[in-house]
Amino acid sequence: MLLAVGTVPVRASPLEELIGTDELTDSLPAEAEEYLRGVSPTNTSAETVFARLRAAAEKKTAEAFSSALKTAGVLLIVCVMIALANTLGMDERAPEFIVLAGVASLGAAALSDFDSYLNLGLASLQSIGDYSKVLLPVLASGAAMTGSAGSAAAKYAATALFMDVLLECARHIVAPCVCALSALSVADAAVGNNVLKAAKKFVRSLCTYLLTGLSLAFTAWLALSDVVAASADALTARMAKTAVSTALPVVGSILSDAAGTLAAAAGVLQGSVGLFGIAAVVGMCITPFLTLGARYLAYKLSAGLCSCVADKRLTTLVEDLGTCFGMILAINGAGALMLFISIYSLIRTVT
Amino acid sequence: MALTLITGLVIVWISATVASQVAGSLRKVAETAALGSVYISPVLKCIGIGLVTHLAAQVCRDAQQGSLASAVELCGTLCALYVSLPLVESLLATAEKLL
Repeated sequence: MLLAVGTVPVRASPLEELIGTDELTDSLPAEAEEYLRGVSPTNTSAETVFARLRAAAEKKTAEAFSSALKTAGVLLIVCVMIALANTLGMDERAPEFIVLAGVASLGAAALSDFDSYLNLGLASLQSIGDYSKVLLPVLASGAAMTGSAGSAAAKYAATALFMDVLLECARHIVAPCVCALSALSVADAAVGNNVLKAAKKFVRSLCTYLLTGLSLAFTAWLALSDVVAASADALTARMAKTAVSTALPVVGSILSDAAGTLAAAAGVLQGSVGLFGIAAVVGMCITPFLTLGARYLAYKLSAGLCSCVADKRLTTLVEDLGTCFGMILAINGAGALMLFISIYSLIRTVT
Repeated sequence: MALTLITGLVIVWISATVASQVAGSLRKVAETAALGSVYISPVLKCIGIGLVTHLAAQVCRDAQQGSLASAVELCGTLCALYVSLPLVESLLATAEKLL
């Protein structure tokens, strides 16, 4: 009797507690939290979440483009004024000091708050990196429960490694290169020098190849580790099923079927968690992508319009400053893309 | 020579009246759209300085005073640099912050 009373009934923990889905909502950054309030990682409705994200994107698009077009308007007006000065009959062209004043005006207008945009881009990438450290272990646990422990571990390790490398490269190589490119562009527009042009080209190429190389290396490593580990996981799962069925002739097959059902349930849960993760990353990226993208497009549009009337040096300066914003956008894009590929890969992992 | 100078001054005065209206419209557009006239005004001033300097230098050359024309051009350049100084200082401060 005492034994019966004293026996504490053992209840199986819910699946989500096992893989730790509560941490996903607790660790959400503030910018994603407002879009995912009330949404559960274990029961994510795609329509609800993406409707919220779409509404937020529409609202922020107007703000982002309004601010970007104001700055682009200043650049356009300055370029047009310099072009008009060329037509006022002061010899063949306007005096050099007018063009220099134009360059100083463009540089000051474009770069006055440049560091805030750079910090926005780096902070967004840091948020993505920090959230990946919470999301990926949850997804990896879910994938392990479906019987793909080896694949999940390999993918998690690959993503964590490349995300850290990307963060370090962004902070210590790409960000200084973007600042250097902006300074070189203004200097080249002011004095016009082949050395400065070559330096600009080098800096631009360095950042492009670095980000492209990292993304390609990550995708290749993920694909290769998936191929190698997936085969091992499949073999391990089949051997385990066979061993259980052989050792326990009647009960064994029931046990292995139950394990398969549990793995399928974990797979369904993992899909929901993966969708929540994707929505969280999209929520984190809305503001920086729209802000930086709007700046990039507005500057390129201004450069295109200015090329019809303005001095080539001024047009090139506006275009190069747009490229600087494009490079900050590319850093964020690379980080978000890595995480999306990793999430998709972990959701797809099925034995 | 005097007649040329007076005629030139009258024409410049008429052009300045028109030019000031154009500059005023540009400033108004910039202020309405909150486009930051702090960036546009120095460029307008430099264009004005360039025009005045060019005309004055040409008058000096017409009067066979080449050296005076060069001095006028030098003065105009320095005035334009003075007017652009706030922009250059802002640019250097931004560059220092970034680098």
